[in-house]
Amino acid sequence: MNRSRYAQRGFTLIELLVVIAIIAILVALLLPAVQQAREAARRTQCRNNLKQIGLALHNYHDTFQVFPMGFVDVVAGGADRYGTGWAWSAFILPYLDQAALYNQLNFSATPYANTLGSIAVPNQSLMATPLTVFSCPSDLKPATVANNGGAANVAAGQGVDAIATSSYMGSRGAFNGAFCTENGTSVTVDARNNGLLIVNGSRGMRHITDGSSNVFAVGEVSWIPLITDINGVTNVGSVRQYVYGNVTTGGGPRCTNVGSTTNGPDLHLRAAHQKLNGPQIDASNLHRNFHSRHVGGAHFLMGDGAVKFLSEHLENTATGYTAATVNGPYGLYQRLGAINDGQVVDAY
Amino acid sequence: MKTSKMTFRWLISSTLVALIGLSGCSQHKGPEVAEVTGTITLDGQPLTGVNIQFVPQAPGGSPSFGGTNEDGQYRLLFNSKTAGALLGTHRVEILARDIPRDENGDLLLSVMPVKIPRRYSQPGALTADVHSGRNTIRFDLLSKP
Repeated sequence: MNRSRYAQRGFTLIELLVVIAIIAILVALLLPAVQQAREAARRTQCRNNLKQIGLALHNYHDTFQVFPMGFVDVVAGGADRYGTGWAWSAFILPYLDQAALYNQLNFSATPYANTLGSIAVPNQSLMATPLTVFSCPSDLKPATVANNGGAANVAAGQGVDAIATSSYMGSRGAFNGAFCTENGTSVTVDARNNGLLIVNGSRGMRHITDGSSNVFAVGEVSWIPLITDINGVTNVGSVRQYVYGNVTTGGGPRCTNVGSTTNGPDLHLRAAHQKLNGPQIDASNLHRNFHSRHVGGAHFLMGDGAVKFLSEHLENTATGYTAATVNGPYGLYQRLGAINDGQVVDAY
Repeated sequence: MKTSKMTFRWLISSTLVALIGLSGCSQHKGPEVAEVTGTITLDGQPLTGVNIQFVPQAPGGSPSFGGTNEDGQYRLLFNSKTAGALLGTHRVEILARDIPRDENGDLLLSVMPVKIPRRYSQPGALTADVHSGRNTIRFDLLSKP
């Protein structure tokens, strides 16, 4: 009598062990999910930043009827010139709740180096201001980096000890290569720059004949430390992505620079040409393409203000620029980079 | 007897729960790729210091990249974690590397550029088929046709 009552009330050892085993399995399933939840939160923040940048770009467009210039370099040869070296991200500061910073910047001077004499060097210390809206939490970049730093260089107006870094860059179009052609005393911007944000030019909604939801405005670029790749090529990576602008160590900006260890428009603008999240070897031209630390792809801000996550396996023909190929045919990724190529963009 | 039946039921149900749970852990691996390695020569000599790019000719694909070492050997990478290239026919581009530049953007003249005969840079000049499994694809370039 007593025994059967006890048997009904309690559990056997095996039953207990099975319950514990199930709980253990469930916990083991949950642990990786917690890590993924953290990355999901970072991605949400990352998307939100792009959305803010999109709203700022559209507010800029409402004010000026064009999007900002991608990068300003009006005179050839990398010489110091008044008001050059600034990037699109500096021009939209008032629309990102940074009007105070914008008002303190002297856009008549270059962002940091300035050997013109008549203008003091007003901008150098402001360059160190890191902005959350330009920092994707998944991107493991330093908040600021030095560029040709050191007291002597900085005093001579040739460098900066700390310049804020960015995780987002404008889309210059479907093709890599030099952003401009130098003609002795001036620069021209050729047809390969068929994106929304370009050197020395402003494009508006009216220029986006492909439809503003079918073109990139801004994309993600993560900080990738320089390595020696599997073929022994040194300096492969992407370490120069600055927020406000840049100039060469000699003084002025230079829009023909495209190297991974030189300053130029590549620090603010990228092409949808080489593979998204490509492998870290010299051939993949990491310092010239979009890439992120998210698994499987990267976020892009489209011309209409939408933020999309695009797969790194998106169709990409990596078509090179010639006068004949400027409007295609090329793959979907490049089509999204170009604003006026006239090719059909289907679902992606 | 009753207890062992219950235990059996417990085991079955717990295994099912575990299997259903674990099925969510399988990760999507992306499209199928095949390992591609090989050698590039120019007039019989290993061609060192060039980049190679495989672009799938079928629509919807994305390219793979490689570069040659001192022995002229290359190995393609599809992305930062996966080696190989998509299956099918590829347009192959063999490209000289950029000459390094100094801080001001001037070319470092100490580095000799690699010359690749111009006709190999025409679209469609070189193609290759990638099959599943391991692929060894050799490119023997000639400076004169």
